[in-house]
Amino acid sequence: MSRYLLRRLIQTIPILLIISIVQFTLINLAPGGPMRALLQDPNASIEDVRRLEAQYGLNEPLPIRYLKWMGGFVTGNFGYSYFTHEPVLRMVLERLPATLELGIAATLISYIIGIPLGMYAGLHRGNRIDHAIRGFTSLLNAVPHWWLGLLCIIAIANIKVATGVLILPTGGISTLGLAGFNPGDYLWHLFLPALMLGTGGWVTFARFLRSETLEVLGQDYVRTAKAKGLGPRVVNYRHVLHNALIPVITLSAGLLVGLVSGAVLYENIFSWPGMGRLLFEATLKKDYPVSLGVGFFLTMLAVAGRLVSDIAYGWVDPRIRYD
Amino acid sequence: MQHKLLLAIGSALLLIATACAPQPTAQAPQATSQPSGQQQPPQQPPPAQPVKGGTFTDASFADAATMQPLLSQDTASSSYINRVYAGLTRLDPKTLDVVGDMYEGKGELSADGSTLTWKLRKDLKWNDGTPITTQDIIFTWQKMMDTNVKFPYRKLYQDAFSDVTAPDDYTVVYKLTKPGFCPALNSSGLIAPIPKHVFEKLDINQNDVNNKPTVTDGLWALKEWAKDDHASFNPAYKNYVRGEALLDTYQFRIVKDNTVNTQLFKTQEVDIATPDPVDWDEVKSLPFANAYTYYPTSGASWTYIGFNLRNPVLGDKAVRQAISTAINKQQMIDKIRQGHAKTQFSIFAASSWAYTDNVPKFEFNADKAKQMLKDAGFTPGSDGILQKNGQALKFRIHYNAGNKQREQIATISQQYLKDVGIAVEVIPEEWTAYLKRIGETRDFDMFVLGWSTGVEPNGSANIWKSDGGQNDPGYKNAEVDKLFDQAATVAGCKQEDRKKVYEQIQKIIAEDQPYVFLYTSESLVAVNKRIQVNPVTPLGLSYDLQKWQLTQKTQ
Repeated sequence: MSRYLLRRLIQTIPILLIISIVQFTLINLAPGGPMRALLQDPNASIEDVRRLEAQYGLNEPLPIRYLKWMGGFVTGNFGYSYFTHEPVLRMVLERLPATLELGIAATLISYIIGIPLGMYAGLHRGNRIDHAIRGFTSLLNAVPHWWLGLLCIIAIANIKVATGVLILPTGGISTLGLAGFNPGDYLWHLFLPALMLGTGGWVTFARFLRSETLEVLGQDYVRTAKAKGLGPRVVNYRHVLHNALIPVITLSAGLLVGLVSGAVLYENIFSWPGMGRLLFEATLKKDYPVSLGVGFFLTMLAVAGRLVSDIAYGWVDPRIRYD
Repeated sequence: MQHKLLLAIGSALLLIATACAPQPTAQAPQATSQPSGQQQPPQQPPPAQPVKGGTFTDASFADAATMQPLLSQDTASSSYINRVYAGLTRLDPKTLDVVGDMYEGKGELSADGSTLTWKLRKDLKWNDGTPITTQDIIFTWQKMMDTNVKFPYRKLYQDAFSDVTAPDDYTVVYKLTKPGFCPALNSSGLIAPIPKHVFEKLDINQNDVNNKPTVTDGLWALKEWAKDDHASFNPAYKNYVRGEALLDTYQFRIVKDNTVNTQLFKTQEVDIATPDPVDWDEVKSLPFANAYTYYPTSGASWTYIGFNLRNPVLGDKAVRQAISTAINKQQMIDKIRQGHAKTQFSIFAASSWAYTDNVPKFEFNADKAKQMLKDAGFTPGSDGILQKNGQALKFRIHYNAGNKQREQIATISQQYLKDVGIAVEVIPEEWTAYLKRIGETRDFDMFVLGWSTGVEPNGSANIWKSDGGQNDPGYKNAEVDKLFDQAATVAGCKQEDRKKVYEQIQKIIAEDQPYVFLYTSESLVAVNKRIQVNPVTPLGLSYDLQKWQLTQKTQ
């Protein structure tokens, strides 16, 4: 196991290197650039532009700039934002908790809603609730969830205007003006963005688990368990759910990647002060150090998610052995 | 069994969501009158006595990048900085004259126009008790000119002033680069001074004080700043130059999407909204909303389609005039701004003191446009597109992707131009790439863009002078160059005298039509009735924030 872990960790190094090169190249070669925003003088000459480029190190060849960036990265120096002049690492670390909290809450919602729904639909194939679950999840699959989030915000605002009751907050991480950290207030603000961000996850889980459940129900060992006289609860939980859940672990790694990329959209809609929002702003402004720093941090999270899911896979399924 | 389990999980989640809802800390007072959306804003009855206390929650589309005045280059940063640092000068909300704020009275231009002198108030102190003197102003100027400091406007200041000196602790003398340069009055007070005793030993570019300023002289002090979420300010300093704040807290909530911002206003999570025109009728009808519609002079926003005069076909004035005549601007205002804009025919926003509409106008008339093109020698080709000497009237029109108003302008123009025999390809482009195309590579035929302009009309010289850095169309007119210089150096710098020169400029450029001038946008602002704001002036609402107060006392 430890050898396997070490090997996988070593394997992630070239993966991260390749991704970093691709990210660096794409971000730097995208049309436009930060000069227009940085140079506030409308009468700036070409010489002024060149001087500023030199000040920010943008006049050097791309490979040299990459090596410098990577050199800084391995020593913990992600560079400084062109616009806020703050260290990128500090900016990332300030926003990391908000993104992680939203991601974890969305993951929990994905499991809490998706697994029971999928399981129920699989165990009760063909009944009315199964049809309803299939119809509802198909519908949600076809609708962009960020748009659904926007509709929810509009609906909540209209309910507030009509009744005076604010069901849920429509943005932000906390109620402004509350003294200190208020866990209740925090959860109240977290609920809607996490539900929307987690919708893609639970819809996928529900649909996937339904088909897995149906497949496991047809296996010989389930038939044998029933023939042995085991009760439906034991058969369903110990034999069906346990085996149907194994592929869900593989899906979870994909879910993490989806949550990370989804953060860019949802954090903007729900005014959530996380890394996705920071990445969005930095990309628009061509704030290269911030785009690279946040992008690479999110990549590392996604790669780590894959690694954890591979390890968890073997832990859940005893047939998997780490060599 | 499983069904019950699911219900239980669902109920639990809803309970968590609702039970955790905090109780509101303050109740908004009842609305006292119906909202209005008329041109003149509603006048609220002022409270009999000033009401102290309360919180105002503003909404900002972006968080500040910095609170260091010398590094600021975005609107959000300026908003935060203006809360905590006092300004040297200000614009009079009624006359729009530059008057002293930390400075006294008005700036004095020397007889030969070579220097501008301001007197600093003698009763000013930083909030740590240190007197504010000209040493702070000179220190700030030196840092502005220090090439190691990433001050983004250095060249603009170098163009206006060759030096700034202080003969004593309360007199500042600005040496003008061009004698009698009227805009120098405005420039002299734009950057707020920073405390010398705090920053003299720090690297201005990177230090821990920039974003946690404790020694300030503004109306507010930073209480809390959660990046990308909110920033709160408390009254800082009762000796602020314009008096003490009545509100207890001024806070910004960062909301990047305007639709979401409108919803936050509806839920009363923020106290101010600037809705899109399409949402205006709904917002102004909210019982707790006071609706303000006005055309600001400072921050006036106007929209245009620019031509590339380097293109030989578009270099022909007759073609540009015909294109302007072929486009129905009023219909754009009706469809895109729901009527909340004014047609504009000149280089200044319709609300500018320098504006005149006594200029050549190219109002919509498709038949006339066709005739103008015919007179210019264009005839229909086999595909119906007009051509001359084998050169078809086919153009590209660029706009920045994601800007819905500009997208609509581009596509509506495409249709109108098609009707007169001109083919247009509409091309969206990412913002910075778009700016590079328009401002650097100049690889375009037409483009949709807008200007947000200040009170000082000389700011437009960069756009229209032959060597202007923002002269994207490549417009060249020696007389216009001369008139801009003349308008900036009119003896006495009186608005009425300068306006006469700007009127001449407007007539010439309107005749030349390097832009299709479209419209000046109306500002649409809704404020929660629980807040008494200032009367609307050409500067809008956000001046004299120390006077903002609750309409009645709330607990």
